[in-house]
Amino acid sequence: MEIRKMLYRKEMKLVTLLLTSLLIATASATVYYSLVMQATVTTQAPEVKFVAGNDSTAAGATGGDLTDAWVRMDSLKAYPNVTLTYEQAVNISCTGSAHEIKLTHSSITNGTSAVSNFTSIKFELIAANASQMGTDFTYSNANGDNNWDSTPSMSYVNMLATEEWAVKVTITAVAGAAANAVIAIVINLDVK
Amino acid sequence: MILPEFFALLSIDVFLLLSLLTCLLEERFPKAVPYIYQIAALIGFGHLLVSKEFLSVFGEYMRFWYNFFYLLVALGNIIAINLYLALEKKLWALAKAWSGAVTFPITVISLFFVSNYSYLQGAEFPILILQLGLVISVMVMGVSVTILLSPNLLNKFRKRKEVNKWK
Repeated sequence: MEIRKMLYRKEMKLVTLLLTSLLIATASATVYYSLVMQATVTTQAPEVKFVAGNDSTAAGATGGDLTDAWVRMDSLKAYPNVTLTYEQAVNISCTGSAHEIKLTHSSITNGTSAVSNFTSIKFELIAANASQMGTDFTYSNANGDNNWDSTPSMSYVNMLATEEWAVKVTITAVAGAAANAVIAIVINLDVK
Repeated sequence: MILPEFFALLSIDVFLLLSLLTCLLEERFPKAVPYIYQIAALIGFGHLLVSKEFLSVFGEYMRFWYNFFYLLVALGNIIAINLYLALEKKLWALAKAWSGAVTFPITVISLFFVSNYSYLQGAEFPILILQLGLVISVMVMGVSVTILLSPNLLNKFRKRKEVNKWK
């Protein structure tokens, strides 16, 4: 009888309701928090992408070596005492909206002993009206040793939507360049 | 950024508050009322769960309206209790305290969040709802000010009603 009385007391009711209220409020807030934290990520085609240029076949940037976001030019040549130019080794196309782009050095592999065979390897961004966009991106070896003089860099250049720029590659080898000397350079195309 | 489900969360808290307050004032209310409000809050919780599961199916527009409707139900209950205390129970002091401590703050908080949400989402409420809201607000404010300035007015009105009844 006493227990029943106690159960019906106002304080007991209030405490019970308070506890269930806390439980419901906490659970609801947790569900809401999980809703807020729910994010949807959708992949889509890049707005700035690589496309084939007039010299892409000669440069080896064809087939599986050329995708929207990645390109490998594994047929770029260099001849002793000759400057070889690929006017459109690969092109960069901008769609959607304007973006700022630049080339940044990533790495050079398998090339340490071969560097002395080259005088310079220059990359330039050339607009459709043939004007150069931004500065030269040049791996230079003026003194002919086994090290590049410096790591090239360039500042961001504004690329308007619907524009297509060429990546011009100019390679100069020294007079007594050895055959089959290979330099593998990895360059990033930064887009913002 | 506020999601439409925030209104459901707010409504759940309102129902829980009502449950606790009606329990505190249990002599003035039917005994089942606090538990009914707990169930209403639980329904809101279920409401949130359903919303979470079908987030991509229900559009933002639909989610806003069913959550907003739930908030309106919660606010309606606050006002209904206010009227119940004032008109049914004739507890004027308590009704005034309730309107000052519960009805007014919660209504203002809800309005703040709804307007904030509509501003962030760039949504516009239909002009008719705004106009109706303004008219109702002005009417309620007018009646409240009149009663506040002359409390005897209500007694006179009541007496007249009783006289008419006996005629």
